[in-house]
Amino acid sequence: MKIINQFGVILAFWLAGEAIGGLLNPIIKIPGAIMGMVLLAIALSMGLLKEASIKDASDLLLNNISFFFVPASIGVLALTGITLPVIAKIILITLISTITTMWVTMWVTTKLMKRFEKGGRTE
Amino acid sequence: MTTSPAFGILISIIAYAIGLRIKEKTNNVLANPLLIAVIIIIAFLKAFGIPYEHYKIGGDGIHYFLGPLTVALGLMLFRQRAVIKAHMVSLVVGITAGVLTSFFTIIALSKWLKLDAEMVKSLVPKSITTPMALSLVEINGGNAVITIAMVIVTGIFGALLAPLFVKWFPEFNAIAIGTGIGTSAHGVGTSKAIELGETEGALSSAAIGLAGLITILLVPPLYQLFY
Repeated sequence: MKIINQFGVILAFWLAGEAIGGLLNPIIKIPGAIMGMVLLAIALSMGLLKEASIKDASDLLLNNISFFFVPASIGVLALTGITLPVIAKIILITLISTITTMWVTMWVTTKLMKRFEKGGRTE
Repeated sequence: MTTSPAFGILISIIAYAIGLRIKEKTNNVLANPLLIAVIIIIAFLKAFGIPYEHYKIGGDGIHYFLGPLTVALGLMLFRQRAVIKAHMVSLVVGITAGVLTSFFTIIALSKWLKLDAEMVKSLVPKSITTPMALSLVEINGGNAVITIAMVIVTGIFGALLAPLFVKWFPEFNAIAIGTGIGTSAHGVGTSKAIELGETEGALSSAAIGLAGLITILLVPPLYQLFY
């Protein structure tokens, strides 16, 4: 029963996220589940919610994260019309973009740390 | 028999368990459990002529957990609060730089290679964790299946590249390395960052959630402006 209650708490945050996301929709589009995630992190940080009241259900989900994507990935069977050259192109773009993203993030972070965190080296 | 919800759920569990076992045995980043599970299930359905719709009956039962899973990422973010607080400026600015780099390299290369808009939208979330990538597809459009596939491919590239970056760029410190891995290659890259060191692992984990959030906030308006 404990884990079911924990799922209940998580679902309540999701629903609250959907409600707030709906209200914000004219200004900025934020998916309900993402808003729920932000609300959960805020509630935990402010001490409004204890980690223990969602821990087991959350860890069950987080520790098996890729399992829950199996059905969505099988949807590839329903895909048609993607040719080999297109696949080659998107893989090439992904490779180049991943290399540059990784390098730029590391470079900018290193530069900033030299500037702002002189005293606080934490290697 | 294959129209029972039990079929889709059971075959998913078995295929994923095999994927996990292969990953543990080989300890190779190419042995991604999700990728292995998908190959096994597709091969099984094709071999026995079982329609995708039959698999989907049970598969949907698992798929519905993606909502609570995304919400639970809030706990992951909360657990990294000490690291996030300690390096707030470097993290947020560094990650934002990475998110913008990911976005603009995809736009520029897609224009050069003449990809259609649907494909570009599907590629843009590639560097963020799958639940958040799907949320971005939900609001910005694109093909969710291509997005998931490219998120996995990105993670594998990132995990392969991370140790090389450490070797090639000794001037980057552990915090920058962790941040760069989490921002460019989400959870799959982070598994490699954890092997590189404790600081790298913690920063990479913190970067997953932050990079996802920054991407979801920045990409839809940027897409409207630049594509």
